[in-house]
Amino acid sequence: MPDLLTSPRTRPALALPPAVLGLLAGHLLGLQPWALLVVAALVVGIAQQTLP
Amino acid sequence: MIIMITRARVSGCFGSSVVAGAVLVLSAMTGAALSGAFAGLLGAAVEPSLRALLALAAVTVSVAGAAFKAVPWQLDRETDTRWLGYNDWRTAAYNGFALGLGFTTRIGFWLWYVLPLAAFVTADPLLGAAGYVVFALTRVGLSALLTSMDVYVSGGIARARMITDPLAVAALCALYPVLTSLL
Repeated sequence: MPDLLTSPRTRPALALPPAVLGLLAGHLLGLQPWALLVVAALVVGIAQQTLP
Repeated sequence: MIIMITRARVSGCFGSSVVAGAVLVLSAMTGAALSGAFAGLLGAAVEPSLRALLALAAVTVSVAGAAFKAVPWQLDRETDTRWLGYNDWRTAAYNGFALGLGFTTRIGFWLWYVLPLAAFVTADPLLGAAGYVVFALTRVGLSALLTSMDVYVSGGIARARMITDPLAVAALCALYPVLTSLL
């Protein structure tokens, strides 16, 4: 699975569903930029513990 | 080396790891607040329509980058190893500040780009700073906590990307409706 994530051929296809979901969520739920900022801050802050 | 740096962040500061940890986290919060406030100020400095256009371009470029590249555009380096030689409060303070700024070292994940872009779109320095402080507390606070418990997370960056990459694309695309309403 990690190989899929590094392949420039499959990555665009894998990116499509979350892109559509994000667009829908932004449109239907009226997500606020500050809410995205806080959620991204939490998730990326945790993920960065795996940085080499 | 990684362990040495992580240890140095919270040791050799007034002889107390608690004080060193506090200096580290407070410095990170300061650096992060400056970054977030700057992004928010930049957003506030331009007209809503121009802000939307600039953000649309940046979001589109970031989504394209995330769709084609696993490793984000970044400065591929750690904090300055010379800071380890200080063996005093500066080791913690400088490391904390640099990590809080976010962009001066390895960021690792496309999701990071949501932070400056969302802060820019909010066009509010206070909100931008607050969001970045959450990042600093999570990034550096958790790192200090894990270090104090002698827990080191190594590897797993590819697995973490399986979660953060779709989230990054979704979060970036969620900004589109906000931006188009500003146009």
